[in-house]
Amino acid sequence: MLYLKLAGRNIRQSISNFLPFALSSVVMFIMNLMVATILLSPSLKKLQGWGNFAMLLILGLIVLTLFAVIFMIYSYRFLLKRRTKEFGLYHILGLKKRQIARIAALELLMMLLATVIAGTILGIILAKFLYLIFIHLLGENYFDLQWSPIAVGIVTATFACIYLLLMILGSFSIHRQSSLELLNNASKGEKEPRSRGFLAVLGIVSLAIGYYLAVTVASPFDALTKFFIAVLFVIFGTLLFYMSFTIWLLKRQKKNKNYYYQPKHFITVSGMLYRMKQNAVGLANISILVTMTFVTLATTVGLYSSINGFLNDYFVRNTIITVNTTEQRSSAFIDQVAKESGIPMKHKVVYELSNSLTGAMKNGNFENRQNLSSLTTVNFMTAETYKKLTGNTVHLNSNQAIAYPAVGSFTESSIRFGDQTFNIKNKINGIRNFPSIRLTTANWLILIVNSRAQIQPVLDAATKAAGNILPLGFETTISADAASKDAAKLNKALSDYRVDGNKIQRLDTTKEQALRGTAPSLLSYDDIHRQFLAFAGGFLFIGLVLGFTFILGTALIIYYKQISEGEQDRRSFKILQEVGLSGDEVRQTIRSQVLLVFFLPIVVAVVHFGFAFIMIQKLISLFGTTRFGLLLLTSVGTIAVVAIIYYFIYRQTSRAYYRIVER
Amino acid sequence: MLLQVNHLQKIFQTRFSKEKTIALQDVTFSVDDGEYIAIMGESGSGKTTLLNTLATLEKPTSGSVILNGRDVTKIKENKLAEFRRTHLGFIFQDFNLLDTLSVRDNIFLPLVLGRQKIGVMQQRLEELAPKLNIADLLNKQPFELSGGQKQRVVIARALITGPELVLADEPTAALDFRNSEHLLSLLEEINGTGQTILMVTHSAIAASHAKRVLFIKDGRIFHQLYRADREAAAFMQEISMTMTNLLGTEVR
Ligand SMILES: Nc1ncnc2c1ncn2[C@@H]1O[C@H](COP(=O)(O)OP(=O)(O)OP(=O)(O)O)[C@@H](O)[C@H]1O
Ligand SMILES: [Mg+2]
Repeated sequence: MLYLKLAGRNIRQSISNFLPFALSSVVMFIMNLMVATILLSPSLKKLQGWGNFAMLLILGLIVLTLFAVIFMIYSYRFLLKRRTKEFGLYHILGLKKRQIARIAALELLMMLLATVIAGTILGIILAKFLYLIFIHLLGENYFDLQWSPIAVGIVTATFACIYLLLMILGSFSIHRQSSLELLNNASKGEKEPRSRGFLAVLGIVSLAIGYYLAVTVASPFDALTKFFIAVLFVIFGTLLFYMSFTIWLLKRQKKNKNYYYQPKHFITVSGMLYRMKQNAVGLANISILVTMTFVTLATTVGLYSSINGFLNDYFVRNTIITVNTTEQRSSAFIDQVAKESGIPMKHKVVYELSNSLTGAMKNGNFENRQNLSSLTTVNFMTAETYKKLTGNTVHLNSNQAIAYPAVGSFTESSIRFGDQTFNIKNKINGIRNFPSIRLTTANWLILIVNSRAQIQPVLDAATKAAGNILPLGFETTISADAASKDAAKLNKALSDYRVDGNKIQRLDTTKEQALRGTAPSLLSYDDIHRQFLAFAGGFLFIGLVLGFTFILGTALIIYYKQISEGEQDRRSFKILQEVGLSGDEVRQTIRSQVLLVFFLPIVVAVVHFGFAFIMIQKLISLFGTTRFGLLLLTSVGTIAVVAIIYYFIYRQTSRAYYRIVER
Repeated sequence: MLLQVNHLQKIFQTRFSKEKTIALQDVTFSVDDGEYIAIMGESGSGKTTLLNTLATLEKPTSGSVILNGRDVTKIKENKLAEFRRTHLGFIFQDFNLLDTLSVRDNIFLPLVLGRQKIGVMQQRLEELAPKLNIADLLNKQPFELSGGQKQRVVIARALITGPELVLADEPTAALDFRNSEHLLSLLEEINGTGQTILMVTHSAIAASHAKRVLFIKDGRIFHQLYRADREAAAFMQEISMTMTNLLGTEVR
């Protein structure tokens, strides 16, 4: 009971120490609870493709939980450090370490209780609000979000575990220190860090490797696999960069006596140098968090804003029907079905392509084998079709082809399929009324050839490689404008048919029969748009939640940094004033020091992001060609917004710093 | 006359309470060039306040402090730092060395702030360091030094600008007996080269090294003693007795 009283009194008395910890605890709880509530809400199941969101939300929840663990530990260690003196006093006054640890644990227990109560109430209220954003991003309109006791239970359990971890950490750190150390912890001098050239080089090399990986990604799948390796190198490099490179740089400035022995540089350089050892990790953390925020937000915002572009590139008309047979048959067939169903189809565009060959493309050699990093889909188009689409007549020899690399690049002068080689006569950048993206694969290459006969051997070889299940031939794409309702009706009518090579058959619904062949496919802009929006919206939602949390984390780290540095600097600035630095000069010096620490992580994060951008672009092109300009714009916008928020955080926290220094 | 202090008064009033503390009531004294003066008084008698006022760290409520014919209480706020840097030297009780700077840079600090040339700084340090016996310490960090060593570094920092007046606030308070003795004779030597020193202390031993001792009580100068040609030990006897009699306190 006595301990309980002591613990309660401690929290009340040093509320300013506990407040940042309590705040981070509650906010982390709220973030987790909001996502968990949305995840477990029954109304989520009503959404189209809820499985995808559930996956995304679970992923987001995992990241949030990990982040919460790291963050709570960080906050608690800061709290403990500020209270070592208090604990030392208890010890001197006769409390055993075990008893002190028990008080600390009780304090944590109270904090946990407060977190759960405040977090649950706020979390449920805010979850409703967040859900509105979520639904809006998906382009849906269900507004009912039930609060879920299970979600509260899960998040509470998670936080109980985190707090248990904190208790263990706390009791370890209390037991480890001797009472004198506990008392004197705050005022220990430190030797100026030595500059370690080796580590500096290692850091730069590590960064270079990370950047190199980012710059050299060839395809979206490549980006996907290399991304994490690059991230690890960059994180490691950043840490070393701050720990050794900055120290090396400052040492060099210090050696330059004419530079160093100037009032402004003198105090700043020596102060930074002295602090760099503790600062390095903090600055690296801030840089990495800011980069994470940039990357998360830029990717998700970029993806979301690219959707319309993708779809416009794909949908030459708002309805696209693909029938797996020749143009003549397909066209007649669709006309007939449309007429029977009474559906008008306007602005029709019809063209014929070979079936898709999907395989590995390397140095102009196409192989019928699946390889993720060089996956390419090839379709052939005859010169006749090309003329019909564009009005241009082309003359091609039997071994010539015109290349249209719709997605990805193609620079070879010839292309080989087994023993058949086509020389590339020229390359074109687009075909009128023809999509410039494909919704499924990475790279897409259209080859315009003289006649069908020429490529039949290639198709036959591919058929054989695929196991002779369906013979490859030609398919027809019919694009037209139709009302959304009509498109659905037509789709339903078409689903009764099977197309197999040259035969088009209708399913007899009275009989149980299996017809060979594939159904004609119909894609409508509205449908696909909704699907894309749902997917990218879910992504954006998670991106926003994580981005917000990262920014919050950054804010907290900066705040802690400012507070602890303010306390260290207070004495220094008092001495400086006595020795002969005016109040204004002191303020100026503080400002330049503070500004440097503010700008460094942002600059580093922007550089990191510059390289990450190349990867992000590739990753987004998984879903279609990216518009470089748009992506750059959204990225720059995102960076600007985050930088403004960061600056705002910085201004607020530097007030705390000034208040301490000028006290 | 180097320094003239006229009817100095300092009243502290905290912003939120009406209560006033009179730290200095009416202090008047003068200091000649080359003097070594100790100001004695019990705790709370206003010694630090007096020193801070002379040091321009604190503005008096009324009265004037005239250093070489210039009233330092009238100096504008933004010129004060420069004034302190060029005319005064400080020795504090708790050393006040910057952890972030090496010993050498701590000593250079006032010169750097005064935008002095490196060559000049180095030359002055070369002259000063052997006298203070700190030549071996220059490349260390302050936390590596003992209390006595730190105080010698502080003295070097106070002297390197060639100040007209060195102000010391309880310079021996944080030192043990031997180091105190050492430091006090060092200050005496420095005074021997013509440097004017004004020291505030409540230790009779410390005061006995000065040439003149002023006693302060209730914010007024009460009494003064001249050392003349006496040994420090003999002088100390008289200081102790004076303190006991005049101020009603026992001092060592
Ligand atoms: N900033 C301040 N605000 C209010 N009162 C103050 C302030 N500084 C000093 N005083 C008061 O002025 C009086 C003189 O204080 P001062 O520090 O000058 O004493 P002192 O002689 O240096 O004592 P000690 O020997 O203990 O250092 C004390 O009563 C003190 O409480
Ligand atoms: Mg005092």
